[in-house]
Amino acid sequence: MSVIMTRPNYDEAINCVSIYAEKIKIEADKKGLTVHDLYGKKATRMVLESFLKKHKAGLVFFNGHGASDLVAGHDDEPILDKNNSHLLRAKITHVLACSAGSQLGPGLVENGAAAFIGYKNMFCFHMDRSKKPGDDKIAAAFLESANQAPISLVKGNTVREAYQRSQETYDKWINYFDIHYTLESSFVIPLLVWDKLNQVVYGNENASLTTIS
Amino acid sequence: MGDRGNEKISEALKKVVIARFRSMPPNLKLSVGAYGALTKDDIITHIQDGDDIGKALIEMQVSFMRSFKQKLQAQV
Repeated sequence: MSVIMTRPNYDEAINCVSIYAEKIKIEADKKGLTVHDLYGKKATRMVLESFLKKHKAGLVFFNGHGASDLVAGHDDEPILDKNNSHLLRAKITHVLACSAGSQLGPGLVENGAAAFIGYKNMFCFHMDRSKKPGDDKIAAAFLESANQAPISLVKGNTVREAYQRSQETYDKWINYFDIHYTLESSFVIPLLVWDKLNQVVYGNENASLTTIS
Repeated sequence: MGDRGNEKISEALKKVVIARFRSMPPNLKLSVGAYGALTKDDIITHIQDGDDIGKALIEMQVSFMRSFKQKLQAQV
Protein backbone atom coordinates (compact mmCIF):
# COMPACT_ATOMS: atom_id res chain seq x y z
CA MET A 1 0.00 0.00 0.00
CA SER A 2 1.32 3.42 -0.84
CA VAL A 3 0.53 7.11 -0.59
CA ILE A 4 0.88 9.57 -3.43
CA MET A 5 1.21 13.23 -2.56
CA THR A 6 1.61 16.34 -4.69
CA ARG A 7 3.62 19.21 -3.22
CA PRO A 8 4.23 22.00 -5.71
CA ASN A 9 6.29 24.88 -4.34
CA TYR A 10 6.27 27.60 -6.99
CA ASP A 11 4.83 30.43 -4.89
CA GLU A 12 5.11 31.60 -1.29
CA ALA A 13 1.80 30.22 -0.03
CA ILE A 14 2.08 26.87 -1.81
CA ASN A 15 5.67 26.49 -0.64
CA CYS A 16 4.48 27.00 2.94
CA VAL A 17 1.69 24.40 2.47
CA SER A 18 4.15 21.92 1.00
CA ILE A 19 6.63 22.37 3.84
CA TYR A 20 3.98 21.54 6.44
CA ALA A 21 2.85 18.55 4.35
CA GLU A 22 6.23 16.90 4.97
CA LYS A 23 4.91 15.78 8.36
CA ILE A 24 2.47 13.45 6.61
CA LYS A 25 5.37 11.88 4.79
CA ILE A 26 7.17 11.30 8.11
CA GLU A 27 4.06 9.71 9.66
CA ALA A 28 3.54 7.51 6.60
CA ASP A 29 7.17 6.38 6.75
CA LYS A 30 6.71 5.44 10.43
CA LYS A 31 3.76 3.26 9.41
CA GLY A 32 5.81 1.55 6.74
CA LEU A 33 3.84 3.04 3.88
CA THR A 34 5.65 3.85 0.67
CA VAL A 35 5.31 7.55 -0.13
CA HIS A 36 5.52 8.79 -3.70
CA ASP A 37 6.23 12.47 -3.21
CA LEU A 38 5.60 14.57 -6.31
CA TYR A 39 7.47 17.59 -5.00
CA GLY A 40 8.11 20.85 -6.82
CA LYS A 41 8.38 20.47 -10.60
CA LYS A 42 7.42 16.79 -10.33
CA ALA A 43 3.84 17.81 -9.47
CA THR A 44 2.61 17.62 -13.07
CA ARG A 45 -0.41 15.95 -14.61
CA MET A 46 1.71 13.54 -16.61
CA VAL A 47 3.75 12.37 -13.62
CA LEU A 48 0.67 12.10 -11.39
CA GLU A 49 -1.24 10.00 -13.93
CA SER A 50 1.78 7.77 -14.43
CA PHE A 51 2.13 7.19 -10.65
CA LEU A 52 -1.61 6.58 -10.23
CA LYS A 53 -1.49 3.91 -12.95
CA LYS A 54 1.73 2.31 -11.80
CA HIS A 55 1.38 2.22 -7.99
CA LYS A 56 -1.29 0.77 -5.74
CA ALA A 57 -2.03 3.89 -3.72
CA GLY A 58 -4.70 3.85 -1.06
CA LEU A 59 -4.44 7.55 -0.29
CA VAL A 60 -3.80 10.40 -2.68
CA PHE A 61 -3.09 13.71 -1.00
CA PHE A 62 -3.08 16.89 -3.07
CA ASN A 63 -1.56 20.21 -1.99
CA GLY A 64 -1.91 23.16 -4.32
CA HIS A 65 -4.18 25.78 -5.71
CA GLY A 66 -7.65 24.67 -6.62
CA ALA A 67 -11.01 25.64 -8.02
CA SER A 68 -14.44 24.07 -7.82
CA ASP A 69 -13.65 21.65 -10.64
CA LEU A 70 -9.88 21.10 -10.48
CA VAL A 71 -6.69 20.87 -8.49
CA ALA A 72 -3.50 22.44 -9.82
CA GLY A 73 0.08 21.26 -9.62
CA HIS A 74 3.37 22.90 -10.57
CA ASP A 75 2.93 26.32 -12.19
CA ASP A 76 -0.88 26.12 -11.91
CA GLU A 77 -1.17 23.21 -14.32
CA PRO A 78 -4.54 21.46 -13.74
CA ILE A 79 -3.46 17.97 -12.64
CA LEU A 80 -6.81 16.64 -11.45
CA ASP A 81 -10.21 17.27 -13.01
CA LYS A 82 -13.17 15.30 -14.30
CA ASN A 83 -11.16 13.95 -17.25
CA ASN A 84 -8.76 11.94 -15.08
CA SER A 85 -10.92 11.50 -11.98
CA HIS A 86 -11.43 7.80 -12.81
CA LEU A 87 -7.79 7.24 -11.77
CA LEU A 88 -8.84 7.82 -8.16
CA ARG A 89 -11.34 4.96 -8.19
CA ALA A 90 -11.32 3.04 -4.87
CA LYS A 91 -8.83 5.48 -3.35
CA ILE A 92 -9.20 7.91 -0.46
CA THR A 93 -8.49 11.43 -1.67
CA HIS A 94 -7.54 14.42 0.44
CA VAL A 95 -7.33 17.81 -1.25
CA LEU A 96 -5.78 20.77 0.55
CA ALA A 97 -6.75 23.41 -1.98
CA CYS A 98 -9.50 25.93 -2.51
CA SER A 99 -13.04 24.95 -3.46
CA ALA A 100 -12.42 21.44 -4.86
CA GLY A 101 -14.94 20.16 -2.31
CA SER A 102 -17.80 21.95 -4.04
CA GLN A 103 -17.87 20.05 -7.38
CA LEU A 104 -14.77 17.96 -7.92
CA GLY A 105 -15.04 16.08 -4.60
CA PRO A 106 -18.62 14.87 -5.08
CA GLY A 107 -17.76 14.06 -8.71
CA LEU A 108 -14.80 11.91 -7.66
CA VAL A 109 -17.01 9.90 -5.31
CA GLU A 110 -19.66 9.51 -8.03
CA ASN A 111 -16.89 8.14 -10.26
CA GLY A 112 -15.90 5.55 -7.68
CA ALA A 113 -13.41 7.18 -5.31
CA ALA A 114 -13.71 5.58 -1.86
CA ALA A 115 -13.96 8.93 -0.12
CA PHE A 116 -12.97 12.58 -0.37
CA ILE A 117 -11.97 15.16 2.24
CA GLY A 118 -11.44 18.74 1.13
CA TYR A 119 -12.78 22.29 1.20
CA LYS A 120 -15.96 23.55 -0.46
CA ASN A 121 -14.80 27.18 -0.49
CA MET A 122 -11.49 29.06 -0.45
CA PHE A 123 -8.90 27.59 1.92
CA CYS A 124 -7.30 30.61 3.55
CA PHE A 125 -4.54 30.99 6.08
CA HIS A 126 -2.43 33.65 7.68
CA MET A 127 1.35 33.59 7.62
CA ASP A 128 3.74 35.45 9.87
CA ARG A 129 6.14 37.37 7.61
CA SER A 130 8.69 37.59 10.40
CA LYS A 131 9.04 33.79 10.60
CA LYS A 132 10.34 31.14 8.23
CA PRO A 133 7.73 28.63 7.02
CA GLY A 134 8.08 25.70 9.39
CA ASP A 135 8.78 28.03 12.35
CA ASP A 136 5.58 29.99 11.79
CA LYS A 137 3.11 29.18 14.56
CA ILE A 138 0.32 31.08 12.85
CA ALA A 139 0.59 29.17 9.56
CA ALA A 140 1.05 25.99 11.61
CA ALA A 141 -2.36 26.45 13.24
CA PHE A 142 -4.09 26.29 9.85
CA LEU A 143 -1.93 23.66 8.20
CA GLU A 144 -1.69 21.32 11.20
CA SER A 145 -5.48 21.44 11.50
CA ALA A 146 -5.95 20.56 7.83
CA ASN A 147 -3.14 17.98 7.77
CA GLN A 148 -4.53 16.17 10.77
CA ALA A 149 -6.94 14.46 8.35
CA PRO A 150 -4.28 12.78 6.15
CA ILE A 151 -2.09 12.09 9.20
CA SER A 152 -5.00 10.30 10.81
CA LEU A 153 -5.60 8.35 7.59
CA VAL A 154 -1.99 7.15 7.33
CA LYS A 155 -2.27 6.01 10.96
CA GLY A 156 -5.05 3.67 9.81
CA ASN A 157 -8.08 5.59 11.03
CA THR A 158 -11.31 5.77 9.08
CA VAL A 159 -12.29 8.70 6.90
CA ARG A 160 -14.89 9.74 9.50
CA GLU A 161 -12.28 9.69 12.28
CA ALA A 162 -9.80 11.61 10.12
CA TYR A 163 -12.38 14.30 9.41
CA GLN A 164 -13.38 14.51 13.09
CA ARG A 165 -9.76 14.75 14.27
CA SER A 166 -9.09 17.52 11.81
CA GLN A 167 -12.20 19.38 13.04
CA GLU A 168 -11.03 18.89 16.63
CA THR A 169 -7.59 20.25 15.75
CA TYR A 170 -9.23 23.37 14.31
CA ASP A 171 -11.10 23.73 17.63
CA LYS A 172 -7.86 23.23 19.58
CA TRP A 173 -6.16 26.06 17.71
CA ILE A 174 -9.23 28.32 17.88
CA ASN A 175 -9.22 27.84 21.66
CA TYR A 176 -5.46 28.41 21.79
CA PHE A 177 -5.71 31.80 20.07
CA ASP A 178 -8.78 32.65 22.15
CA ILE A 179 -6.90 31.98 25.40
CA HIS A 180 -3.62 33.57 24.23
CA TYR A 181 -5.50 36.55 22.84
CA THR A 182 -3.54 39.16 20.90
CA LEU A 183 -4.39 41.45 18.00
CA GLU A 184 -3.22 38.65 15.70
CA SER A 185 -5.81 36.31 17.25
CA SER A 186 -8.66 38.52 16.06
CA PHE A 187 -7.53 37.85 12.48
CA VAL A 188 -6.50 34.24 12.87
CA ILE A 189 -9.64 32.98 14.63
CA PRO A 190 -12.17 34.04 11.94
CA LEU A 191 -10.12 32.27 9.26
CA LEU A 192 -9.72 29.10 11.34
CA VAL A 193 -13.50 29.12 11.80
CA TRP A 194 -13.95 29.69 8.05
CA ASP A 195 -11.71 26.77 7.07
CA LYS A 196 -13.28 24.51 9.68
CA LEU A 197 -16.80 25.25 8.43
CA ASN A 198 -15.78 24.68 4.81
CA GLN A 199 -14.11 21.33 5.34
CA VAL A 200 -16.26 18.59 3.77
CA VAL A 201 -16.26 14.82 3.56
CA TYR A 202 -17.94 12.64 0.91
CA GLY A 203 -18.13 8.95 0.20
CA ASN A 204 -17.63 5.96 2.46
CA GLU A 205 -16.79 7.39 5.87
CA ASN A 206 -15.93 3.91 7.17
CA ALA A 207 -13.17 3.52 4.59
CA SER A 208 -9.58 3.41 5.83
CA LEU A 209 -6.24 2.40 4.35
CA THR A 210 -6.82 -1.01 5.94
CA THR A 211 -10.27 -1.60 4.44
CA ILE A 212 -9.35 -0.56 0.91
CA SER A 213 -6.06 -2.48 0.75
CA MET B 1 -35.65 49.42 -3.54
CA GLY B 2 -34.59 46.05 -2.22
CA ASP B 3 -31.48 46.06 -4.41
CA ARG B 4 -30.50 49.56 -3.35
CA GLY B 5 -30.92 48.48 0.25
CA ASN B 6 -28.61 45.57 -0.35
CA GLU B 7 -26.06 47.87 -1.95
CA LYS B 8 -26.17 50.12 1.12
CA ILE B 9 -25.63 47.12 3.38
CA SER B 10 -22.73 46.03 1.21
CA GLU B 11 -21.13 49.46 1.39
CA ALA B 12 -21.57 49.52 5.14
CA LEU B 13 -20.08 46.05 5.43
CA LYS B 14 -17.22 47.07 3.18
CA LYS B 15 -16.42 49.94 5.53
CA VAL B 16 -16.59 47.72 8.60
CA VAL B 17 -14.36 45.07 7.07
CA ILE B 18 -11.85 47.66 5.79
CA ALA B 19 -11.73 49.21 9.26
CA ARG B 20 -10.99 45.79 10.71
CA PHE B 21 -8.20 45.04 8.26
CA ARG B 22 -6.61 48.45 8.87
CA SER B 23 -5.72 47.14 12.33
CA MET B 24 -4.15 43.94 10.97
CA PRO B 25 -0.62 43.57 12.38
CA PRO B 26 2.01 44.25 9.67
CA ASN B 27 3.71 40.88 10.23
CA LEU B 28 0.62 39.02 8.98
CA LYS B 29 0.07 37.99 5.39
CA LEU B 30 -3.10 36.37 4.15
CA SER B 31 -2.98 33.48 1.71
CA VAL B 32 -6.19 33.30 -0.29
CA GLY B 33 -5.87 30.52 -2.81
CA ALA B 34 -4.54 31.45 -6.21
CA TYR B 35 -4.66 35.15 -5.31
CA GLY B 36 -1.37 34.69 -3.50
CA ALA B 37 -0.13 36.00 -0.18
CA LEU B 38 -1.76 39.37 0.46
CA THR B 39 -0.47 42.18 2.63
CA LYS B 40 -2.75 44.48 4.57
CA ASP B 41 -2.64 47.06 1.76
CA ASP B 42 -3.44 44.41 -0.87
CA ILE B 43 -6.44 43.26 1.18
CA ILE B 44 -7.83 46.76 1.61
CA THR B 45 -7.43 47.48 -2.12
CA HIS B 46 -9.32 44.29 -3.05
CA ILE B 47 -12.18 45.18 -0.70
CA GLN B 48 -12.31 48.79 -1.93
CA ASP B 49 -12.35 47.58 -5.55
CA GLY B 50 -15.15 45.14 -4.75
CA ASP B 51 -13.51 42.41 -6.83
CA ASP B 52 -13.98 38.67 -6.26
CA ILE B 53 -11.34 38.43 -3.59
CA GLY B 54 -12.68 41.53 -1.85
CA LYS B 55 -16.17 40.02 -1.81
CA ALA B 56 -14.78 36.74 -0.49
CA LEU B 57 -12.96 38.55 2.32
CA ILE B 58 -16.19 40.30 3.32
CA GLU B 59 -18.03 36.96 3.18
CA MET B 60 -15.44 35.41 5.53
CA GLN B 61 -15.89 38.16 8.10
CA VAL B 62 -19.69 37.93 7.88
CA SER B 63 -19.50 34.15 8.20
CA PHE B 64 -17.44 34.53 11.37
CA MET B 65 -19.82 37.13 12.83
CA ARG B 66 -22.77 34.80 12.13
CA SER B 67 -21.08 31.81 13.75
CA PHE B 68 -20.13 34.01 16.73
CA LYS B 69 -23.74 35.18 17.03
CA GLN B 70 -25.02 31.59 16.89
CA LYS B 71 -22.54 30.58 19.58
CA LEU B 72 -23.71 33.43 21.80
CA GLN B 73 -27.38 32.57 21.20
CA ALA B 74 -26.69 28.94 22.08
CA GLN B 75 -25.21 30.05 25.40
CA VAL B 76 -28.26 32.15 26.36
